[in-house]
Amino acid sequence: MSAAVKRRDLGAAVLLGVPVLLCALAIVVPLVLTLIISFWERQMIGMRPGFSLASYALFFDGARFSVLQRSFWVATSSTLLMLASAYLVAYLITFKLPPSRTRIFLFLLSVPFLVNYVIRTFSWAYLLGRTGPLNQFLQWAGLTSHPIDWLLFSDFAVYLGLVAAYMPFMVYPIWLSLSAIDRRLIEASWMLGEPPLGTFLKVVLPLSLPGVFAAAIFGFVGAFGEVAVSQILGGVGYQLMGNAITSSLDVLNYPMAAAMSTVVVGCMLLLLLLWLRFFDLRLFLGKMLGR
Amino acid sequence: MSPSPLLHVHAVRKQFGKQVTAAGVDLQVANGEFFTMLGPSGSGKSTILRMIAGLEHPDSGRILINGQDVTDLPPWRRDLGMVFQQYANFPHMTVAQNIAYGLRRRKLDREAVRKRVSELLDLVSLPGFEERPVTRLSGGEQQRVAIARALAPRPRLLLLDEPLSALDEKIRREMQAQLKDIQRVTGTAFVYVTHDQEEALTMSDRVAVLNWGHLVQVDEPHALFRHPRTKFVATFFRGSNVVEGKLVGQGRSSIFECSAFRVALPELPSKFAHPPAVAIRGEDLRINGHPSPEDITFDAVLERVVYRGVYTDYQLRLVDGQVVTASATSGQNLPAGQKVQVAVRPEGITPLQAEPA
Ligand SMILES: Nc1ncnc2c1ncn2[C@@H]1O[C@H](COP(=O)(O)OP(=O)(O)OP(=O)(O)O)[C@@H](O)[C@H]1O
Ligand SMILES: [Mg+2]
Repeated sequence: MSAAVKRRDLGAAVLLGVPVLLCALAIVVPLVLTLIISFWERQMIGMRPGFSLASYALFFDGARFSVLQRSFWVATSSTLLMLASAYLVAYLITFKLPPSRTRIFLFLLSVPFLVNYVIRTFSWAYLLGRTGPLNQFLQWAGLTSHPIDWLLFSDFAVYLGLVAAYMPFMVYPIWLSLSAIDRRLIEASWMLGEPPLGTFLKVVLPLSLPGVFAAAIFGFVGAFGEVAVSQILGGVGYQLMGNAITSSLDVLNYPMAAAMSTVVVGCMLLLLLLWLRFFDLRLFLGKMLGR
Repeated sequence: MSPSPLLHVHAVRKQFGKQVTAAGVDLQVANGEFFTMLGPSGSGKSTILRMIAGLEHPDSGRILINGQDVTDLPPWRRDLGMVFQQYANFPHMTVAQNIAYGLRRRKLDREAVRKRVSELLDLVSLPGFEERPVTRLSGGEQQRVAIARALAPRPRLLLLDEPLSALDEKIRREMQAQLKDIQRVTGTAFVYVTHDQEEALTMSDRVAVLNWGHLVQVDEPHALFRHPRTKFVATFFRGSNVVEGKLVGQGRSSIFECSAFRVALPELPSKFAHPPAVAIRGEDLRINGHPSPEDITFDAVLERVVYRGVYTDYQLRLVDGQVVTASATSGQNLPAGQKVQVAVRPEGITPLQAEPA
């Protein structure tokens, strides 16, 4: 019997090991290369192996650092915005929609993703432009006498683009944890004298936090690394981290691009570590909910 | 005018689609009473309980608590406690936080809350469990936490929906006794839902038997057990026999006649079952005993003997083919296939009414 168990263990190890190895190769190798190159020295054309902190120094006191700060701010604030709207959508799907409609609604949420992401972003640019349908409509309706400029190439456009790009993804984890909540917990809370708002704050919200954290990671990672939305909807001067990295690549400053990437990856890792602490909580909550 | 009862459910109807789950239910529960609703699955027990709780709204009829009409009051304004079958404790809270949940709105200071929580943990025999995560408890312990939680704010009435049915046999027996004690000590009125006849009989002051959304009979346990009013109630309790026959003669005391025996029924129910039938408990049928003069006796064939431990069941075939089961303390050695004499006292024969339509 123990031989059989061993053989099974071996089988499992191979079955698990191969994909893990492939993932490691595909993810870790480029990351390590990036890290190494970030310490190389830039030359007029190309770069030279070595160990130099020059790129980091330049990054941290140059204008690019403010791009990092700005990216951080945009990612954080848009994530909060997306969380609020995704939560509302997930809440309505879970509690207000008849169960027979849930599937179709969740499917509808994924329909935009059938269209290529860059094309979707460009169509926003068309919709929001000075001569675009939205401005035309507003003028036709008499709400404004001249085209509104801030609809496109503005923070507004970037936030709208980010919400459209990532919010639908965030609905799913929140919906999952909301629909795992036993309705009788809500009824029990009512019976103990807690009206719906108090019940939401004391029972529903805490129990849905695992999904909220997962959604927050989706949104933040997406928004922080965004290139297309900021470039297409933000306009020429609008730079987020992703744009700064691509423009470094455009001028062949590979060590600089690598250094910036390393900083971004470092930030993400830090966030993921934080999340892992909550991930434990998630397992814990999952057990408590009997799932 | 008599004081209004604690709970008065008046002509309450509820229908889901075509399914009538409460067909004009009337019931009253007094202060401190242990009231049980007993019925098979789907008979509407939970629906009636949930309407009392305010979790469902009746299509028509009123629900009054202490004379106050609460029909349109939401559950969080009714001051009732509820215990669910699957505990429904808040999984993200400790035992103490669960029990204190309903106290938060009472604006008690922390010391008072702590005191009340430990008081309740003593009541449900879980002293010192305050800081345990509620999910790490056994089923019986979880249900006791749920009971303590529901009782903490001193509800006017505690509603329990099959609270013990998720527990295994042994724990269930222990919990039955404990629940009864808790009810007696706190003096809280309980409205208890179960489909377990023994649970209903052992714990309750009064039992309401439900079928298809009708309250078929509301009585004290012994009355219900000894004198079922309809065929449904009679067959619901294990060990009852229904014998069909016909009515002979009219007037205040009619005579019920079947192939095996005739009996004068002292008082007739208003709507006699159709076909006419009577109920006889298996323990009341005595085989080859020494009948006293007033006993009714008849012959039957002993078809089968089923040993059940303390009791043995004897399946008897009457002359017209109807089968009844007598039970007696084991020990009497009777071979199957034999002709026997059966005796029953007239009080043991209960006339049955028609089922409510
Ligand atoms: N929300 C609802 N929607 C539709 N039908 C319902 C609903 N709630 C209950 N019913 C129906 O009403 C009937 C009675 O249900 P109820 O839950 O009150 O029965 P019960 O006596 O508590 O049964 P059980 O012992 O199985 O819990 C059932 O046929 C059920 O299908
Ligand atoms: Mg039920």
